[in-house]
Amino acid sequence: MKCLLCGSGIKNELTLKQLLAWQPVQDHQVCQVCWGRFEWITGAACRGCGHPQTTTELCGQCQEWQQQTGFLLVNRSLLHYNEALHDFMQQYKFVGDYRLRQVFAAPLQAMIATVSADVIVPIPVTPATWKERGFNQVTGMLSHCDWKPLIETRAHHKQERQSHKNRQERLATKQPFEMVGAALAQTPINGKRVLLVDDVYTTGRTLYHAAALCRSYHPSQIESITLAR
Amino acid sequence: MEELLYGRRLLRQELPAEFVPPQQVEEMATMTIQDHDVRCLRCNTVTNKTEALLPRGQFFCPQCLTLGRVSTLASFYHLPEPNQFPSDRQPLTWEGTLSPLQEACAREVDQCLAHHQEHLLWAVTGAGKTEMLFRALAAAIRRGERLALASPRVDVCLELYPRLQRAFGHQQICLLHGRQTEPYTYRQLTICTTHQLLRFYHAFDNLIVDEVDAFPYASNPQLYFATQQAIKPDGGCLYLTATPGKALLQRVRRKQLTISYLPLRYHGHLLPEIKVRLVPKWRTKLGRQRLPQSLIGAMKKRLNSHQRFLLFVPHVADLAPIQTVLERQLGIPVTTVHAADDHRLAKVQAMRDEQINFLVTTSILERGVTFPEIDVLVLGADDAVFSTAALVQIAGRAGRSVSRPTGDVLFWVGSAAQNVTGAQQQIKFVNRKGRRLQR
Repeated sequence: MKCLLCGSGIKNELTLKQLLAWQPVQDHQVCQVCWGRFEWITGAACRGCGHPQTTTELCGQCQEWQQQTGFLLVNRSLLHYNEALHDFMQQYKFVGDYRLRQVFAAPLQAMIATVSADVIVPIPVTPATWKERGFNQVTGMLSHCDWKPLIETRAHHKQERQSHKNRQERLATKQPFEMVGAALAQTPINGKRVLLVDDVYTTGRTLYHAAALCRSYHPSQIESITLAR
Repeated sequence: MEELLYGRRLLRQELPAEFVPPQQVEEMATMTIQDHDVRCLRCNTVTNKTEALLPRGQFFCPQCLTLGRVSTLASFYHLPEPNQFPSDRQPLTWEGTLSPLQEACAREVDQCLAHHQEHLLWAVTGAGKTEMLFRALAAAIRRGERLALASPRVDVCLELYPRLQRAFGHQQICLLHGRQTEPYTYRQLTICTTHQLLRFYHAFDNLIVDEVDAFPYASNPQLYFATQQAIKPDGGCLYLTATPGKALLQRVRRKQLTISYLPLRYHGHLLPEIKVRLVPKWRTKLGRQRLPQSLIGAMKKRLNSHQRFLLFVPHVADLAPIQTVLERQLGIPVTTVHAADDHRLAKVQAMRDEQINFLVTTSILERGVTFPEIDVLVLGADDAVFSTAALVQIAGRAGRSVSRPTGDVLFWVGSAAQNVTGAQQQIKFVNRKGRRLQR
């Protein structure tokens, strides 16, 4: 077994606990060194966007969002967006190593399971990305979740990657999403608890757009989870 | 811009964004799909379908991702090699001379390139291989052939580039390796790492692979495949090495590959032979802060007579404990160096400038470096990290200068091992051939 990130060998040795638990064993996909470079968000964080900080008070960004949209999206993230995670996203999304979907699939899905939601809605990628990258990095990590493709990118939406823009440009992005009528007819969301899932929360622009779109269909609650913040 | 594709096979993403593929471009499939696995047509790796799977029934190759992802979503662009080079009647500006032995070998190399043969040149460490290529390369350039010099090691490429640029003053040479920033240019002569060959397709009339025995080429079927792909179907290939591995020698025995030898160094002396000292359980002793008495003795002797030397050890992790023990027993500061050392270049330079008398190192100094008049000591030569080829290269660090063409090569081993006997045999073999030539 080789580490998916650095290629060094990994020994998967059974611990006594794993032996006695008599449960399926999850092999490590990543070596201890690479795994140790990720920062998990465990302590206090902004009660809005989930950004790690000393208190749980609303951060400046969230206050701005609240003023602008009159609504606060509660977001929780698994990891801090540090250099290791930047490198990971680079390899996963832009190089296109689809095997990396397995690295955080289990902890991300465990986090999703702790939130009580009726409908799980992943953020979509554009048709152009589908043609080039060949996968959606979010749904790749949701292999055992029952998610619904309720939103898609609008056909005539101008396609420039968020990651190529600066903060101002990102915030000025117009609504890129629309509802998929057929899917919505199958899974109506009015009165339901909706959970949005994305890979990285940076300015919040993407998730606030998606949330605004969903809110016009009157869900009872709307929250989000991202891999990184 | 068309020339970007001459003799190359590239994905759209490897080409500049503004590039418009010309009409006559050949679009080629990137992968073949079999029942249970897929084969990448760039690196020839076969991957299980479950690992290579993308959603919606597409596949990608996880093996050669660093060069840009190959997937069934994309296709390769290729234009056949047209050999469109400005004619150069006098490409060689080098004015050195060859020894009679080198001369004979250079003639042989010239013949190989002229007939597009697949040939192995076994020249001992410090034989002056590069100079022997000049005449053959010049003749090939005059014939209008496209040529490449490839090596698995980037430092070998970086060292070759200025030497060839000086020797072929009017030629513009293209240098390619993974860490560079300059863009690719279409040139008659290319110097590149063997990984870069994966981007070429039927490009070269003659390809020379230097240090074929070095990591990672030796154990990597991907790179062997890349070499075959990069050569034109009627092109030739010359392998250079001081330490041919089993696979190459087997092909020689089966008459699939012709071979020539240069068993003497440029100064005409034989290789120093390896002397082995048995020190069982030296590692356990090291744990108790002790080193073999014979090693300490050998080091003291050399320090007293101002004989400079290198001490090789198997692992980076061995450096620190050995340094502590040595500093206590010898009573002088000890310098260690390894691949990830921040001061690596400065320390090696200090050794070159004779500011320090010895270095303790891992196999990073195994090839490509020359310190004149040194001895070579190896502790734990039987360790699996040292291949036979690596040991021959290490032994080849000794006796490289005309002023002191001999030198001691001492190995301390925990037990008898195949790699050590293999290295001894290889050196004895070329010395037998060398002795015949000396007469």
